[in-house]
Order: sequence, then structure tokens, then C-alpha cells
Amino acid sequence: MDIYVQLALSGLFIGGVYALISVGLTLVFGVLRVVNFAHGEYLTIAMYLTYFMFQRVGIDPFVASIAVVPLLFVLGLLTERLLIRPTLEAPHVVQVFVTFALSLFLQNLLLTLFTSDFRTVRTSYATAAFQIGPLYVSWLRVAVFVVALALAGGLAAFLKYTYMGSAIRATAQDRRSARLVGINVDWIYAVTFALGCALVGAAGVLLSPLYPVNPYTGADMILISFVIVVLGGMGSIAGAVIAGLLIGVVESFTGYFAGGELKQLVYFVLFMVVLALRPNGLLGRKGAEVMDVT
Amino acid sequence: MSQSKHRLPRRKVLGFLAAAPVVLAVRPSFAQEPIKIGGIFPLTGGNSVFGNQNFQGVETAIDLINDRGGVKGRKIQLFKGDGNSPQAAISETNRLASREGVKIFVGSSTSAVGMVASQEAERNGAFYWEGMAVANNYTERDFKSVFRMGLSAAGLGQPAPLYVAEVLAPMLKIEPKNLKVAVVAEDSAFGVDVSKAAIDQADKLGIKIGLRELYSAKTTDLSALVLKLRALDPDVIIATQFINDAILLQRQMKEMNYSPKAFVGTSAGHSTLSLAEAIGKDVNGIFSSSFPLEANVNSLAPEARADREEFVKRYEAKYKVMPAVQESLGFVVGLALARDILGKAASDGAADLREAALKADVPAGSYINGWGLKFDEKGQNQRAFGSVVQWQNQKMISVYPAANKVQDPVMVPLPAWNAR
Amino acid sequence: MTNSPLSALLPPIAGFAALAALPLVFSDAFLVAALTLAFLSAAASLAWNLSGGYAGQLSLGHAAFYGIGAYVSTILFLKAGISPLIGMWLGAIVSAICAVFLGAVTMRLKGSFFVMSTLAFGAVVHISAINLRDFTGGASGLAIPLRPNPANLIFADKMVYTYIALALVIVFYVITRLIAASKVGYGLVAFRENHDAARALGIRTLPLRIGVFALSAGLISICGTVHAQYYLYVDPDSVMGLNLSLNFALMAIVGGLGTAYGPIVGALLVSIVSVVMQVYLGDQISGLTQLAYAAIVILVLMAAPNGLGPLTHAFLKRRAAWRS
Repeated sequence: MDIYVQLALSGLFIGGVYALISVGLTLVFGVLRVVNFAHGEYLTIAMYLTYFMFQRVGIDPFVASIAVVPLLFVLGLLTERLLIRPTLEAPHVVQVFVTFALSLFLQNLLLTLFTSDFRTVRTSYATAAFQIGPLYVSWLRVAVFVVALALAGGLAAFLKYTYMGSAIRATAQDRRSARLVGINVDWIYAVTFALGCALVGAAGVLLSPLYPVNPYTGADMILISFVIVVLGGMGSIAGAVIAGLLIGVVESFTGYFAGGELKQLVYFVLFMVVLALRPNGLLGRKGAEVMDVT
Repeated sequence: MSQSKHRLPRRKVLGFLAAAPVVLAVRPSFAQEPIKIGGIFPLTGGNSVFGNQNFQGVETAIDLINDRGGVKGRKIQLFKGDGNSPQAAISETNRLASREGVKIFVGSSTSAVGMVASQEAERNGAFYWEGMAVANNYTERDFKSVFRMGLSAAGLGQPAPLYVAEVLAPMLKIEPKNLKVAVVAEDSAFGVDVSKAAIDQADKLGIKIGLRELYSAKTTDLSALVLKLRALDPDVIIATQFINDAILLQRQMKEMNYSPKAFVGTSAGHSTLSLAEAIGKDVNGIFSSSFPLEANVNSLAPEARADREEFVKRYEAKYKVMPAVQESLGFVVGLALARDILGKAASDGAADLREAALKADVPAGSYINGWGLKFDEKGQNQRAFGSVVQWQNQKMISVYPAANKVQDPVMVPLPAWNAR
Repeated sequence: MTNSPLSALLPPIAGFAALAALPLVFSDAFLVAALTLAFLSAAASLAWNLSGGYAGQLSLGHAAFYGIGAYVSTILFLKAGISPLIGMWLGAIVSAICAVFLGAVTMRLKGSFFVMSTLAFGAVVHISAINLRDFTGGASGLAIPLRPNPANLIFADKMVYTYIALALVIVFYVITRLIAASKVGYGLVAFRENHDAARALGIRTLPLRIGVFALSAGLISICGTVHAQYYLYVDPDSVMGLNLSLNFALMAIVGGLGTAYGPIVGALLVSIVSVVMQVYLGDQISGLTQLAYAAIVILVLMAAPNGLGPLTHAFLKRRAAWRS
């Protein structure tokens, strides 16, 4: 019995990590309808920034977030202005491939700057854990989990209760009507994209003490986020969180009962099945993603 | 259709190849022409960590040889080839061969890259000197001018069970046949082949393998694996891992307060400095069976001792880090090629290099890691062997075999996490 | 523009003749290898373009079909001694069947959702290939022994593969032209441009799209077999990686999506850029080659979102109009 609880707990913790990475992606996906293949590289950049602040200046990652998250926000604004906005009117494929090329560009930029060696932020609390009965719980993973939920909750509240949030939602629903009611759609896009980058920046900061970073770290972590975003329902914050946690738990149980190499296979099959049964994802708006064509 | 079409181009290619030596021969300053070597390593992409470390080791060796006056008065020019995938390796081999006139290649960090790059070199009539690719069938391909100085997967996987049986079992006071051993490995060719070799060797020694678990090296969570290990509670874990997953496994074992009595890595992640950098003193007590890091000074030839000092000094000056196993391997491979093959061959043509390789009889202890050179008829070096290091005070210390042993192993069985 | 059929055929024939002459002009091994890869990519991109370009179904899972082609023919050859000349058709059939099933599930999905589900399909097949070690050799892959025999599609002279790849390009180009000029082609384009209008006009596009998707998968699968015979080595990362899928699409987009010549132009341009970068930056810091390549791709996409082919076309037309 204990083992099931421990597996569920481990699954929820890694699911929290997935959710954290996916929330920003789903936001950008939902509003701009852009599949951002470079999302993972922003994670990598945030991890490098955290590493250098820790290594060179001795700033703790949690403190570093005060600088890293705004920096990523600015980087997001710049990216949106220089690369995304000019291609918004272009065919959908062009955006996909601009972000894909951007991802390749950033990976190799990081490689030329910092080499491919792994860097680690080594904090005293990285592996600190406490015990409840037979269960072992890592403080850091609890923290990541709580922050992930808090950020997702905060984002949902921001979208629901602020003017800016309403404007973002209006733009997500219908770009043209939003413009008609006087919303500055360009600005909304810029802020949304930057917000997505800031969120993944926060993820990078939090993951720094857990995982070593090299130029390919983000790319390795991001594939699963694409799955989670679609599984949860494109643009749905709650959907991304639930799908992230679900995938985490599924992975944990398959890892234990079926073997580590089958983990990915199981969740990709799960993904295909969900897609066949519920094409709009777990929490997606009904009908939004299915075409009415024969 | 294609038969008749390719007639002409082939004749052209042959003509071009035939003309090449003539062009070279008429140049008056032949003796001053540099010897060109192409290094085919994954320098970008997922495998580039070891690729760059290997290449930099080779480069350090070539620089050293050049500063010592080169080979018979000729400098060596080392070209970079980025074999980030098998296709890229082929393309880079061809580029260096036909654009830069390279006829000697060295590689390659991963088996996939090494297998295709060496095949391409062989097709081009070039000489290929392999250092790192471990695929067992590498030297089974009847190639003429492909030689592997380094280990096969079998050679890399065998020392771990041997060490467990010979040294760890007595220290743990358990008969080898009563030991419970778990084998974990990442699921690329490297992990699969090396862990297979470890299991085969364990079988021969009568050691039972209680669990063999494979996982993707890109994973972000190994907690299920840790729980599985805890349920089985093996005495010894033998693990073939890369860097990030090696770090992750140690961290998650600590989070869950689990530890076996002994942990033996079989390269590659456990013998990198990144591991110590990441987990600090938790690294102490971990064994890593790998390419040798260093040899016991007493078993080294005096020249090799001097080389070792020179290598560490130069590497640190250039790259600002201590060289570890992969860099040291690169250095040995580069030095052997330059000093003992090129230096002894009648010319730098593939046929003469092949003859020099087959004739080479360099005693063990001639290179900084204790290796020597003696090829079998298939082109596999018989004087390469794996060794075991242990992390002590966050440094890798050679503990096995006798020729490499610098200190006795400690921390067997492994103490609690906070006591390392 | 009302040219006779003969004069309409002239530019493609001249173009292919020029391509056929290229390996004779640039005969060093490196450039021939680059050309072979360019032709093979062009053929694969043409196959992708049938569904991705004409029907606008942006699949990022086509590497799975490419890989299925490579693996089916190679496994049959190594384990049963069946010539890849036969194996390639079996691979194509397997790919087409997979495509029908995938299409039936995903072809009702809108843009981004379709993209993501094909991406997931590609990943499922890729991971399966790694895990089905008994069949596929796992991540180590399968090596085909170099025993030249035309009956087994293994040639000692690598230039033969250049012309095999070019032959695929020509055949796929012709297939594309035939489909584009047919009712099927018009149906696909109608769907791409306006789903609702297509439906209102009573065009049932789903069977058309699934059929073309299967054809596209089958054709790209044949490219996979040729890949296996050319490199004599198949492993999951090189024949099924996501980057491969992205490249097929990228070449078509750079050249001109939904045009018959686009993938060919795109593949040649991308290959030329890669080769130039490799030659001039290959010896510099690791990563610089791909850094420059990525920057160029971004610039090209931003400057010519509809592809370089149509851009040049429009430019030439304007000049012609201005002159007359």
C-alpha cells in the first residue's frame, strides 16, 4: 500500500514540474495560436542565468528569481517584437518554423558561449527530505509543486479578475472583435508572449537546484510539454496543470510496474487515445478544435 | 540506366584520385607539408559533451607533438569534423577528405558516428584511428585500415563485475554467488551494449542479476527506479549512465534515503567532474569502472609520467578545468596516433600506416593511462583495458587493476548519506 | 500564359537535365554526397508536400513513415534475405496503412491540434523503434553489410544513389503535377483555402485527404528505403527523429508550399546553405555552423513567408510586365 502512495506522490511531484513548464506554453498557444518550439530554450536560458548568478555572485536561486523572471519577460517582449509579430499574418507554418529555427539558433548560441558541459547549481537543500511514516518527501520538490500550483492559480486569477486578463481572454477568443472593442491586440500579444517566457523563466529558476543544465536541457524537457498542452486542452491553464499531474502519475506507475523504458511510450499512447476520444483535450472548449467537415 | 550513366563520373573520380598524389609529389617543399588529421566527433547536439572533451584531449596531444618538433620534422594539422549524427559524420568525413585532402581520421565518441565515419574513411582509402566507440562489432567488419585503440563494450563492461567479485564481495563478506546485483542502464546503444557485457561477465562469475532496468537518458524522474531498487534491495548496483541521469539517480536515491552497499558505475557519467560538481561529497564512495583516468606512477614508463604532467598542465591552461577520463582518453589516442603510428610509418599513406599499426608493439605503461599498443588481426588493441576508480574526497582515485591502483578502496559498504 | 502543353513541359525538363548534370560537374565525394542528400531530401519533401502543402495538413510525424520504410526493407533484407527492391513496396504499404489509421483519427482536428497529434505519432513510432530491440536492434540500429549487388540495391559507386534519388525526385514531381491538375488536387486546395466553403460546395474532402495522406506516407517511405541502402545503416535517431520531420516541411516551406517545384528548390537551397556553412565555418568553434544556418533560415522565412520560389516568380513576372 505504501508503495502506491509513494508512487502517487512522486508522480505528482514530477507532474508539478511538467505543469510548471507547460503553463506558459499553453498561454501563448491559446492566445497567439503559435506553437513555440523555442519555449524550451527559454527554460535553458533561465537555468543558465540562475547558474551564473549562483556561481559568480553566490545568489541563491530563489532570490535570483527576482532578476531572472523579469529578464525573461523582457527577452519575451523582444522576441515577440522581432520575430513573432512580423510573422503573425504569414501562413501558420511560418511561425512554427521561425520558432523552430530560433530554438536551433539559441541552442547553438548557448553552445558557442558556454560549451556543452553540464553546469549545476549545488545548494545545501537540493536533496533535503523529510519522512512521514514510510514516505520520503523532498522539500525542494514540495516547493516546486506548491509554486507551480500557485503560479498557475495566480495566472488564472490574473486572467479572470484583471482588465488586462480579460483583454487577453477576449483576444484569445476572437482577435477581430477584440480589436473592435478597442483592445490593443498587438500589445496584448506582446504581453502574453512575454508572460509565457517569464513563467518558463520561473520554472527554470526552480528547476536549477534539481537538474544540471547544458544547451540541450530545455529541448529535452519540452517535448512532453507539447503533449501536456494538447492533452489538457489548448490554452487551458487548469487543463495543463491537470494533464501535467496526470502524466506524472502515469509515468511514475508505469516506471515502477512496467519499466522505465516504457514510460514515454505509455504516455504517448495515452495521448493518442485521448485525442481520438476527446479531440479538444481534457478541458478544452468543446468543438473548438474539431472541424465541421466531412 | 544508372549503370551507363555513372560510367563517366567514376572515371573522372578515379582520374582525380590518381592525379592527386602526382600533384603533391611535384611540390618541392614536400617535407614541410603538414600531416593532415581529421577529427570526427559529435561537437554539437546531445552527445557533444563527450565529443568535445575527446576532441580537446586529441588536440592537446597534437599540440604537444607539434611543440616537440612534429613528426619527422613535419607539423600535424588537426581538422574539426562535427559528426553530430551518422549523416553529418559521413558528410564531414567526405568534406575533410575531398576539400582538405585529409587521409587520416581519428574519432569518434559514439558508436553510431564511429561505425559510419570509419566505413566512409575505408571507402575513401583513408586510415581511421578509433578511440572511443565501443560497439562490439566495430572490428568485425573486415576493414583494412580501421584500428581501434580503445575498448569494446565488452572490455568496458567486464571490469565492474570482476571488481565486484574479486574485491567488493570479500569486503562485504558475501560470497559472490550469494550477492544480489541490480543492473541499470540508459537505453542508447552505449548503455545497452555495456550493461549487456557486464551481465555476461557476471554470469560467468556466478553472480546473479536480480534486476535489469533500462530508461531514457533524457528522463527527468527516476523515482520509480529508486523505489524498485529499494524493493529489491540489491547489495551492489552496476549502472551505465550519462551525466545528467547519473546525477539525477544519486540525488533521488538520497531524497528517498536509499543506498545499496556498493555502487559501481560503468562509465560515462560517473567518471566526469560534473558529477562531483553536482552532488558534492555525496559522490564519495561511488566506484566507476571506465577508461583509465591515470595509472599508478610506478607502472608507467618515465616518458609517460612526463607526458602526464605536461598534459594536465596544458589542458588546465587552455580550458581552465582539470582533465578527466574522456579528455585523458583523447590525449592518449592522439598521442599514440602521432608518436607511435605516424612517427614509425614509412609514409603517411594508408598502406604504410596500416603496416605501422600492425607492427606496433608498445608495452603497457607507455601512455599516461597505462595502456600500450598491440593490435590483433582485426585491428583491436590488445593492450587497452578498463580500470576502476573510486571517488574519495571528491577526487577520482584509481583502485583497480593493480597496474593502475593508487589507493585502497574505502567506504565499503557505503555509509549513510550524511557520513560520506 | 496560354502556352502550348509542350512549352509548359520545357522548364521542368530543362531543370531536371540541369540537376542530372550537377554530379558530373561537382564530382568530388563531398559534393556528390551533399547532392545525394539534397535529392533524397527533395524527394521526401515532395512526398510531404502532397499532404502538407496541397491539403495544408502540416504533419510533423512524417519521419515515422520514412523510418518505417527504412526499417521494413532493412529487416526483411537482413532477416529473410528479401531484396529491398521488394521490401520498399512492403514498407510503403505498411506506412500507408498506418497513415490511414492516423488520418482517420486526426484529420478532423484543426491546425495546431493536427500538428501536435502527428508530432506525438512520430514520437510513439520513434520510441517503439528504440524499445523493440529484437526487431530493430534498438538504439544501436542495424548495419547492412557492404556487398554490392544491384539486385539488392547496394552499389559500390555512391554516385548511383545520386541518380536513384534524382529519379525519385522526377517521379514524385510528376505525381504531384498529375494530382494537382486533377479533381483531387482542386478538392484539397479548396479545403486548404476554406473548409466551410468546400463543404458548402459539397466536396467531401475527408476521404480525399486521408487518401493523399496515405499516398504521401507511402512515397516518403520509399525514400526511407533508399536512405537505408545508401547509408547501409539504420538507427532510430537518424531515420525517425523529429528534426527529420521538421526538415521535410522546412524545405517545402522555404521553396514554396503547395507548389510542385517548391520542395526541390527548397531542398537545394537548404543544402547549399548547409554545405557553404560547413565548408567555411566547420573548423571554428563548435556550434557556429548551425548557429549561422538557423539565422539564415529565420531571415529567409521572414523575408519570404510564402517561400522563395513564389517570391522569385512574382519578381520575374513584375519585371516582365514592366518591360512590355
